This record gives sequence, structure tokens and C-alpha cells, in this order.
Amino acid sequence: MKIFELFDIEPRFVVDAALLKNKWLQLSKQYHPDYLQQATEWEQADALQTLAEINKAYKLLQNKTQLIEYILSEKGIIQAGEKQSIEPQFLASVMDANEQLADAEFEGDTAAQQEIFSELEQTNHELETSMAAIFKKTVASCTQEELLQIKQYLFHKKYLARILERKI
Amino acid sequence: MAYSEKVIDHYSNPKNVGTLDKSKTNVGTGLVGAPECGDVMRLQIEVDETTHTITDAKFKTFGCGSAIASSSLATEWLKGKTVDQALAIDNMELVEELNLPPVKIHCSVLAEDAIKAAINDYRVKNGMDALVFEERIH
Repeated sequence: MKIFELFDIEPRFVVDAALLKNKWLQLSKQYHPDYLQQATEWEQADALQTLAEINKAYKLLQNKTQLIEYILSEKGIIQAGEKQSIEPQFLASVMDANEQLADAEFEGDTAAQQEIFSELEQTNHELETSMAAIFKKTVASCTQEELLQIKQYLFHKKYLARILERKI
Repeated sequence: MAYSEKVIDHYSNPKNVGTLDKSKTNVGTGLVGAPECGDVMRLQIEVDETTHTITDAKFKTFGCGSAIASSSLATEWLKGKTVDQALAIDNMELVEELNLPPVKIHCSVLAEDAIKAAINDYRVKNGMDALVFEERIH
């Protein structure tokens, strides 16, 4: 996986922030035009492009959701245009939360809204806790089943994020 | 990309928003979602059991304007159709009517899936087999 190779780190779903920053500073120094004044024009142009790739990868490596999507796509677990199925039970709970929230918003009942949001945050927290052990592993050591579990986590997170956006 | 006038009309004045009693045997409920954008859509049909005609249709969608417009239009089209006619509704008809841009085609697919899920729910409740729909590439 290219972005991990650029940073010379082992592919993981959650990258240690301090390690990442360190590597990024090193690489920035290595490829920065200011340090390459003796190099040929061609080498400088090449370094500039690498630097752009490094910065793009750095952003991606810091964004948990986007990083998971990237890894799962690279592993072929998520495919473009693929029909995603999500468990009916989870969908029903999302629908319920949305409806309750819409009712509370309509009635201007802020206390009810707060309560719905704190329930959703609790669900979110439980979801994170249930995945903590898997996220400590390297990508290479994850089983197929675990990768599918991460895919499910990703979709649940998207639904939760979508509702939590409406938080007042 | 701006929304078409028809999308805006359905979005600001959605038709048939609401809920039917899902415990009734002649009510079919379809609940579908698009995980990549977090949309969730529920579409329900009420069927006259002797004529197999859809007498009422309701929806509730939490999603973008195109998803709301697609499901709103779908419920309008469903009323008065027989279950078999409803099965023939294709998402591309919704796309054409609403002038949906390519990036929003998946919203119409979601509405078509919701129709099919509602019909299958009705079928299963009434002792028929669920229909299997081909997976399509969108």
C-alpha cells in the first residue's frame, strides 16, 4: 500500500500520531526544495512531486475514516459501485433515531434532542470499544473476517456521523 | 450542481410523507439504506387484496434532496398501480423525470430498492415467496 510505503511504516488502521509526525518531518526535510539547491532541475521537479504525494498521504493517514476506506479498497473489501448491505436491525434503529429526532426538533423539545444525541454517542462509544482490539493490529495480521467487521464498523460510523451532524 | 426544479418541488413539498400501520397484513414495508452516504429510506404500500392494487403509499427518508425527491415521486407513481406494475418501475424513469445528475443516480436506485423491498414484505406476509432481484451494476 503506497501511502504506508512512502512513510516506511507498517500498514495499520490507526497510526501512532507522534511516529507519523516524526516521519513526515524527516521526509519533508529530505524532499524540500530548500535542501536540494545543488540538485539538477529534473531532480528538483521530481522531489517536488514526491513531496506533494507525501503531504497528501500524511493527510489521509491522519483521517481515521478515510484511512479505513483506503485500506479496505486496497484490500478489495470495498469495491466501487458495489451494492452495500447493512443489517436490517441496525437500519431500523437509525430510522427510529432519525424519526425521534425529527419529532423533537419539530416540537422544539431540546431536552429530548439532547437525550437522543447522548444515546447515539453512547452507541458510538460502544462501537469504538468493541473495535479497539482489532484496531491495535497491523493490517497484515487481520483475518478476512476481521476486515469484514471493520467494513461494517465503517458503515455504522457513517450513519452515526450523519445523525450526529444535526447536534445542536 | 444545482438541483432541478422538480427535485426542489418534491424536496420542499414532499408528497405522501408518513407511516402506514406495518402490522396490517396488506401493508408492505421496505427499509433500505445507502451506507456510503448514510441515507435511510422507508417506503410503505397498502394493497387492496382482491384487486392487488396499491391504494396508498407513504415514505420517510432521511437523506439528501435527491433521495427525498426520488422516494416522494415513487410514492406518487405507486398509487393506483397493481403490484405487478409497481415491480416494473425502473430507477431510470425516476432519473429522467427528476433530471438527476449522474452522481445522484444512486438515490433513484435506493427508491427502486425500497419499492421492491416493500413488495417483498407484502408478498411474504401473504404467504408468497420473496422475489429475487438481479444485482445490477449502477
